[in-house]
Formats: sequence, structure tokens, C-alpha cells
Amino acid sequence: MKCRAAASISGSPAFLVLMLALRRMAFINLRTREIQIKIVYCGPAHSGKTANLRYLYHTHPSAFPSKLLTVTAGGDRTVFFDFLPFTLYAVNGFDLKVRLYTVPGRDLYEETRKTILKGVDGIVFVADASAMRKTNILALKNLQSNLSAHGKSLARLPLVFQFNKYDLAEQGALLLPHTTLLSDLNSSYRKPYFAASAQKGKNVAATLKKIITMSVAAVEKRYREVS
Amino acid sequence: MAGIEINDLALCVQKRLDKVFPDEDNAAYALEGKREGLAYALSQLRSIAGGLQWRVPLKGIQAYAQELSRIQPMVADEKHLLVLLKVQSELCRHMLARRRRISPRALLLLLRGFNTLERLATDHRLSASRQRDLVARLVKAHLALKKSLVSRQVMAEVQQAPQIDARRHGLAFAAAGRSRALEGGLEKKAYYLIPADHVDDLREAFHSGFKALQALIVEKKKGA
Repeated sequence: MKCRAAASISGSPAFLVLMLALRRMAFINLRTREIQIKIVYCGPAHSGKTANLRYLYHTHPSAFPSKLLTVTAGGDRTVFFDFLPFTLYAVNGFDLKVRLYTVPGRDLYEETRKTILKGVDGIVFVADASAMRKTNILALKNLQSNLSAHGKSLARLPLVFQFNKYDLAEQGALLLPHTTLLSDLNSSYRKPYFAASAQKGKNVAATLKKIITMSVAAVEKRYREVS
Repeated sequence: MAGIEINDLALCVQKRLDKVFPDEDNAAYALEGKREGLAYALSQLRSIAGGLQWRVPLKGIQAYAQELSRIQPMVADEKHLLVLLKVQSELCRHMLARRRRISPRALLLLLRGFNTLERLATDHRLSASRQRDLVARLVKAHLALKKSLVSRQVMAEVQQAPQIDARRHGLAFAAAGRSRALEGGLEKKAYYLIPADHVDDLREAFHSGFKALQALIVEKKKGA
């Protein structure tokens, strides 16, 4: 009797929703046919995380009907987080709700970063090509340690690297070559990467498309495992 | 079960994303339109203003003034923004003229002006009266700074005589520092910012000043 009850519960959509939520995976609601994924933009301070969202918001107004929520301190430094949601309606019968977040890059906001990373489905690491090598490496290590606090590993999560600020080369700025950034950051992970300019929009949407596709693929895979 | 349809979801999502965000070649590097252009110009200004909080290189102020003049045609039909830009430009001119003696108050006003400028340019929910109010406040602060500069000039003239005496004794820089500290006395904090471009000059001058002082001490000892 108990077994039969357990089998009927485990087969129900509500149970799957609950299980996925408890496992802090992407949220799949089979009854309302909704999938929610959380993408977080991480990276050192002033690397251009907010600039990514700002560019997307300004250049694709039809895709982002909601306001870009951003809290900054004085200049352009993020205090808490930026939040930009958008929905892809009726994809294979599902509504895909994507929630884009950025974390504050400054050391001061360690706890905020940890909180925002809770339940993350995909990560975009925005590296600053104009910064020192150490800055990017330390930010990546910090991200790894914050994820391990939630029992997650960077190697297993969908991750895309974005090497930002390559537009500054036109102004004669001294930038880290992308091969250096690759060897510093991506040598052990071997994840997709883009050389980008968040200010001018180069590879901003490409980065987003890649991370969403990877995250959805991961959700699909986990769903199959669970069901 | 309905969930079976979840197969090939990633592929479908990819196709849909390609439709929502078409190839970037058209969109990238083409931030056309007033809103985007202004946003980019503001971000340039923001990065310069952010740098000025830590050190005050004259090049930074020059770049800031240039960006301001570049923005002007973009906001030609918005009176509030134009007034703000003109006030900021005047402040930049003043700072460039003062060079070594940029007062912290002027710098703070410049940064405050930038914050207001950004707010007016980006927050479209601000009512016209609120915009007027913000600009009026800034203009008032600007006028107050101008007024205080005139009164300081008078005080500087009073301090001129002791400065000349001090220069005769080879302690010109100590005297200059003292007069600036006295100037700063008009404000509660008696400090002043040294533009980073002139740090080397200052170091050199201090070095020669100390050498002269050392020679004076040695001479006195010999005399004793």
C-alpha cells in the first residue's frame, strides 16, 4: 500500500516540481508548463557585468518588457545586484522564464554574492581584459569557493567565459591577450568563451544565447535523470 | 506523461533565441539612436568621474570637459541638461585654470553635477518640476562656490606679504602650503588635493627646499 502510494506520488507532476525545487535545480512546473532558469553574471569589480545587462536591455526592448532593476553606489558600482527577467513563450509547449542576475564585484559584498549564487543554473564569468591577471584569477577562485558553499562545482555547472573590454584596444589600451586569459581561467574547465565588448555590444547576445542553451540542456538532462 | 515533450528543448530554445537576438553583426558596434548614444557617452563620463575620486590628474579633467562638449549636441533640445552641461564645463575650466590649487569643494561639485546629469538623462519618470529643482540646486551650489572663490582671492592677497618673506628664506613651498591651509580654513577641513600630474614637481621642489634648509643649518652650526 505504502509502495503504491509512493509510486503514484513520485509520478505526479507536483512531486517532480517539489523535488527539483528541493534539489535547487531549475524550476520546472509541468502543470503550468513553465521552466525557470537563473543565470548569474560573475566577475571582478568593473569588469562589465552590469554593462552586459544594460546593453541587452537597451538594444532589445521587445525581448525585455520588464525594467532592469539595478542598485548602484554613486558612480557605476553595483551595491546589491542587477536583475533582468525575460520570457520565451511557447517553446515546445513550455514558457521559459530566464532570470538574469549580476553579482557585485567588490570584495565588500561577499555575502551578497553567496546569496545570489544560491540556486544558480548557469554562470557567465565576465573577465576584465584591461585588469591585472591576478584580479581575474582571484575573482574566479572566489566564485568557486562561493559555489562550493552551496555544494556546487564550477566544473559541473554550465559556464561561459566572456573576455570583456576588447573595444579598448582601438584606443590603444594595453589589454591581456585572450590566450593569457584562457590559460589563466579556462585551462582546467575548457568551457566556451567569447572575446567581447559589453559597452559596444560585441558578443553580448552571443554569450547570453550560449549560456541559456547550455543551462536548458543541463535542465533537460537532469529532468531525464529524475524522471 | 506530459513531461515527455521536454525532449529537444535545448534545440528549440536555441532556435527561438536566434530569432529574438538576431545575428549581432547588425546590432554590434551600432549603438545608434539618441538614448543609446547618450548612455554610452554617460558611461565614458562615469568612468572618468570615478577615477577622479581617487586622484585628480589634469588629463582626467580635460577628458571630462571634452566628453561634456561631445554630449552637448545630443541634448540640444533639453534645456535642463544643457544648463547642467554648461555649469559643468565652467567648473572644468575653473579647475584647469587653478591646476595645483583645485579645491575639494569644486571637485565634489563636479561629481555631484555628474550624478544629477546621469539622473536627468536616464530617469525618464522625473517630472519637469523635479528636473528644474535638481538643476536649480546645482546652479545655486555653483554660484556659492564662485562667491567663495572671490572671497578667498581677497584673503590670498592679504597673505601675500608673509609668503614673499618666506620665499626669500628658501622656504617657498612651506609658505605656499601654509597659505593653502589658511585658505582651507574657510572650510571646515583644511586639506587640499594635489593633482597627480604635479606630484613629481612637488617632490623635486621639496627636495631642493630641504637641501637649502640643510645648508642653512650646517652654516649656522659652523658659525656657532
